[in-house]
Amino acid sequence: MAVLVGVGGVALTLVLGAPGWVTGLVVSGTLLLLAGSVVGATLSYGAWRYIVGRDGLELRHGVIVRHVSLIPYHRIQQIDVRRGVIERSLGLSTLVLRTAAATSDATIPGLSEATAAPLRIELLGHAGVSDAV
Amino acid sequence: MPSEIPPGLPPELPGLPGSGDAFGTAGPERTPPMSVAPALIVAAGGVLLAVVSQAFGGGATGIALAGGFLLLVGVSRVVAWAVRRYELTDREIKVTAGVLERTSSVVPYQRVQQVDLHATLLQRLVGLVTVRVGTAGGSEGAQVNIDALNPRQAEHVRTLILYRRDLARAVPGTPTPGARRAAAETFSGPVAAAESDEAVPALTLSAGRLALAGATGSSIWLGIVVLLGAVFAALDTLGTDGTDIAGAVSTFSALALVLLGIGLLVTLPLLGAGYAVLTYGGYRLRVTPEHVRAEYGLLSQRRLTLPRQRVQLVTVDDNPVRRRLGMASVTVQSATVASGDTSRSSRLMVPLLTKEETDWLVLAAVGLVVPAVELRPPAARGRAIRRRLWPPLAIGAAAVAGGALTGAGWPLLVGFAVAALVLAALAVPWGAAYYRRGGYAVTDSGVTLASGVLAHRAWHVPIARVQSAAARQSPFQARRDLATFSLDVAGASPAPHLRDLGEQLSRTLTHDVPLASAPGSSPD
Repeated sequence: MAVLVGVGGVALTLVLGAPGWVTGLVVSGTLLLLAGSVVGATLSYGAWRYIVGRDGLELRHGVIVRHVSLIPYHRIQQIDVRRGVIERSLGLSTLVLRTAAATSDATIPGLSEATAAPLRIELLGHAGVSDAV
Repeated sequence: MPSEIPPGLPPELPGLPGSGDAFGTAGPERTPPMSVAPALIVAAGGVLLAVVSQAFGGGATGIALAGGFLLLVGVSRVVAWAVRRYELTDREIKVTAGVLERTSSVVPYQRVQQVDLHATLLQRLVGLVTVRVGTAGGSEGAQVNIDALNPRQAEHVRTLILYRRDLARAVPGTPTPGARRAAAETFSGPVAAAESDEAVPALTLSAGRLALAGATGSSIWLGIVVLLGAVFAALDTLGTDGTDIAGAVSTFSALALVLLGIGLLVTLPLLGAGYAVLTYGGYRLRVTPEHVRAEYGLLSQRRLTLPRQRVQLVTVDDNPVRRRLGMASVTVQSATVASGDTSRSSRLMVPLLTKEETDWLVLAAVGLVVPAVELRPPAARGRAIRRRLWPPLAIGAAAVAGGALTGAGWPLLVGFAVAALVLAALAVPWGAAYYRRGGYAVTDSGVTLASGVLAHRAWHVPIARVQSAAARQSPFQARRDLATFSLDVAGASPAPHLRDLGEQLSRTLTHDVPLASAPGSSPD
């Protein structure tokens, strides 16, 4: 994303014929942004945990704002595996769990396909004990 | 020999002559021809407008267009009626509709969350009632309408749906007619018949109470905002210097503005009161062993029925004025989320109840004794104040700096600074009030979360209804060992939540509350 913004910015300054220092500013800004997003992504990856517990799935994530959520297995209504274009090219999947409440936060991004498929089966096995809403 | 109880038919409910058989409908059926009457009235109105425009010598193009539009709407509704079929089979409700795009909705009785009867003013004139069947889920498809039946048919259909729902749930996994018959014979609970519900005494809200509800609702805040705006505008008008004549004129117009503001402050609550009386007139609330039922409306009439087992949570809303009067409005929610405006929403809202009535309704609807809430840890008070202190200071400083850089005049800069300081000074009492008015209570059977200063809300959630839970912690909260706790409940949006709970407590609750919602794990 940072790369796209940076390349766009540089192209724009060249097309508009802006002075050299502006182009320099844009380039250095892009590099800073790039470094920031690499560090941010690394930290956020490092902070992500999902714990397949005895009675429920616990998710912990977030670097600056930290989230902890717990989804009991008996509340799982539906499990989706989502793969975007970029994720597909990297062999990654996002597991999306749904409960009867629309507000439940239950998405595990960036799982390798080798992890996602068995995890989905395992969670499905735990789910469906009760379907009462 | 007494006649055998037919499958899925309440004993008290005789078959309805002229509409299928006693079990529902014989097959896919149209709603009675009378239900096109409102559409015909609309179409006739269109024709009338077109004629009026002709009477003006064809000069009134706008009126002609409006007439044509109404005619089109009326005709399309008639066509929609002609192709729409509903069916109540032994197991499910089927509604098929649509000319170009055919939609077929099937709702198994077991999945019904709530059944509402709704009649608009036009429908009431010709004696019609729409039956709305709500299922769980947030989308448009979560609702099926039978549009429209005569009142007797509608009552019959509602009773039948609710009864079959109870039967299907009483003996889960036995959909065969034989097993159903056995269930009907052994079914000991009170049946969902309209007659038995009528025997339960109703809580009625007087017109005076409804007017009070309307007058103390959101219109008050609108009025105050308008008045403040008028006062500021008046001060602004006074501030402009000029000759004596201009001064007199400006004083006069300032006075007029303030008078206008005061007038609105009086009329807006009056309008609110009138609206509430029209919308909720004749409010009757009943909690029977099976259902929570509300009926109301002077113009457009509604009857909402929520099976008690389907109630997800109860929210209690008040504001400083209502709190002085010891009153609040209460909403009983099922998992059905009706999108759109409140007049069409399927939420069962009671406009204004006393403290005792509120306690009774919470106990009756979700089985929770309204607890005394506990205050959050003392650090939450400081957090509440700082959360309201820094934004005005930061924005004010940015505005002053920006103004100075762009060469704005001194009066403007001083204005920015004063506004920021005033807002910052307000942060202290406001934050303290936010701390004082918020709290939580956790028992074996339920969780209560309450917060808000002007619009104060308390959520009463039975633990058995919790889907999942979450704790969120910002860096500022982390420094004081605080966190925001939220519960996910079907049909509740936004999720019930409380800011600045103790970190340890919100972690524990996030883990324990959703797990305690498992069928076997709760004590009751």
